[in-house]
Amino acid sequence: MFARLQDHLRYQYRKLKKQLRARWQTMPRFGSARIALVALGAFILVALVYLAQASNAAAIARELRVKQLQIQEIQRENAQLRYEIAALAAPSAIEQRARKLGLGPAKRVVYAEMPWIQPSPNELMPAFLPQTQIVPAPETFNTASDTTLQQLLSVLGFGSLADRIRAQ
Amino acid sequence: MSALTSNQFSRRTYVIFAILLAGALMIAVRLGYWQVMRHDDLNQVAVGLRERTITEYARRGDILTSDGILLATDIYDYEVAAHPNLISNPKEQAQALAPVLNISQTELTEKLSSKASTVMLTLSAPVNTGKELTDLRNAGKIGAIDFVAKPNRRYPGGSLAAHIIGFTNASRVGAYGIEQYYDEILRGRDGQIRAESDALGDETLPFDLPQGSPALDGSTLVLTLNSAIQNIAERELQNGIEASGAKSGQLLILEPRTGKILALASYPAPDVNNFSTTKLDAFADPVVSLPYEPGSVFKVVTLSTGLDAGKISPGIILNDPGSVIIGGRTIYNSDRAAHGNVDLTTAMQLSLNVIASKIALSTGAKTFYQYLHDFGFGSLSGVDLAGEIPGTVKNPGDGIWYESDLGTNSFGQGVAVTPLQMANAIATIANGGNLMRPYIVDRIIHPDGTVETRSPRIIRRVLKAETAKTVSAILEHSIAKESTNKAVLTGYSIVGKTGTAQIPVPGGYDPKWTIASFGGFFPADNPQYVILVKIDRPTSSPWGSIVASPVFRSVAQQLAQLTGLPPDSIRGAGK
Repeated sequence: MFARLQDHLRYQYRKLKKQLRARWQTMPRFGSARIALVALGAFILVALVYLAQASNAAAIARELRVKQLQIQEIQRENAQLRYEIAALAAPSAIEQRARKLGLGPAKRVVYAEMPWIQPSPNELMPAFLPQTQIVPAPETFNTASDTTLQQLLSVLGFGSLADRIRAQ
Repeated sequence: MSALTSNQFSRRTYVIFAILLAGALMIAVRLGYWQVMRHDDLNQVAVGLRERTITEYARRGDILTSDGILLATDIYDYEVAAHPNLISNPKEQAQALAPVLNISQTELTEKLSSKASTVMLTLSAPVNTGKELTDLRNAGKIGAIDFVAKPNRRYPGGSLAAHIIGFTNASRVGAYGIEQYYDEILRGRDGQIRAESDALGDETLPFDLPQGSPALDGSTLVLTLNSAIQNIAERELQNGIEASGAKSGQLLILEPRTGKILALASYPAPDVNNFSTTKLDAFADPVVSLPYEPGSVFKVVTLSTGLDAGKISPGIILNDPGSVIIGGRTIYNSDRAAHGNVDLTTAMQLSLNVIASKIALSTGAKTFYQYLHDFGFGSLSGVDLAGEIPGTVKNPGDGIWYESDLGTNSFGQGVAVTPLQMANAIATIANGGNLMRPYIVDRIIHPDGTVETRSPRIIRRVLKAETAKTVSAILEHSIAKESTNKAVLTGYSIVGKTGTAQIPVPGGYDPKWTIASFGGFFPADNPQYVILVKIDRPTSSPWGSIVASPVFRSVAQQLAQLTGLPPDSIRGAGK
């Protein structure tokens, strides 16, 4: 029983092998051209993708450069306008216009006593300039922003250490 | 033609092959020469043909007053040049360019038709030129035209604070004042940009983003100056000079508590926007670079040294016989009169040279000169302005000092100080005895937004607080006692001293000219402003009390109004 089955399988195998060989031999013989075509197609596809990207990048670069130049132009015009505003806002220019309008330094100043208002001594002194802390320390410039070390310490959770450095 | 034998064919084939091979080898060798041996220089030529390097000028930092008024800034002008050898249609281009550059079409046609490789069309076209030329180029109406934006330093305030600012020369290097002192910070760094260009040199090819290092703009400086106070100082100084028939003068306003310079005026002021047509000497600020003999204002220092050293007491009575001999030299009062027994207030009120000399004598030379140095005379104040000089103070033992110098120095003769040193010495008394470093830049704002703030600094304690208070009281009373003193400000107690100094000339002192000055501060109970007025060679009167005192009063009055400083009675001063 087993031997018959084995013979049958062997027969079927040989038959299939013969059929495949026959089909292979009957197939048209243009395999090399097909491979070449596929390769060419792939190459064209890759080239198209590359060219599209390169073209896109060039277009963006051009657009960016144009925008950069436009920004520079606007900044230059802005500088010109700032200058013109500053020239018009200069104290001498304002004084000249004020005098044309008949204005001038006050000849007499009258202070009205209002006993119901009790300003603190500080309020009675000029306050147009910010009060500054005086230090008997060597000449240094203090940077308003934290140092890299302080920022790093803060990020790493050593905020108190960063504060101590800042205090120093 | 007989058929070729196999051998003949083979030989000829080999010959042709050999010739072709030899040719190919020659080509290969030649290619190797161009591609390998000459690679670098040819590559450079090729890059040079298709790339151009553009200098991107850094913007010099602005200079602002503490109240935000712009004193110095950069604006842009365009330099426009053409390459006529690349232009085939000069007439058409001239027609397009003429209205933009505001140059006649004929002149432009002539320039564009020349045989030169480059011609300059204009050095200073206005800022909107760039946009208009770009539009023309994009529309194809012009080509082979270079236009570069160049920053140009401008001072919108005109002569406002001109001495303080200085100027920036044609090479964009700061000269004088803040422009020179902070040149490195203001300057920034120019950039170099490389970009692909077409045959006409126009930057139009979109193959790549421009490469190179971009320009790094300079930092902005915010000064301690207040524009309104500076304007008052300049105006009143000019009025005072014109009223007294003088030629020049200086006026300083300091904040004694911090050393901040609130105003610093020198007359005449140079035209900073036209520095090329102005004499360079005019830019040197006399406030820091021109020492003078201060005269009687210096008695404030002498009085302070005597009191602080404990050599005299506030209530001391001194005898004034009208003259005193020191080191073999007789010193007289300015009125050549003897005033008998006087207190310190009267001595200051009458500005007695004899009493000042006696105070210096009792203080002793060593102590006296030590105090002078402590006050900052004879050394740089450290102010952040270019061109500061230390002045001259002789010292015992240095070979040029004589005993008589102690007497003359006590009333401000024989010492050379800068107006800033003198004002700072008065500020020391106003500040309770602490000498501050005067400074003019309050903040530096960097392009990345970080801010450096300058702190006031105490250089040293010169006087005990009690001494400073006593000196203030003596000077306040001496001014109040002078009914004719034109510095007196109604409603406010002031502290100060006049000065009428002779001007040294070779062999002695000028018999005709004087330097009239007044230095003081107010309000006496809580000093806010130190003001020094110095007027050189007045013709209407030689005296400081006549010429300089009214300027002090006028400035002080306007300062009080401007800052809303109420009079003593309103503030309850002295209560």
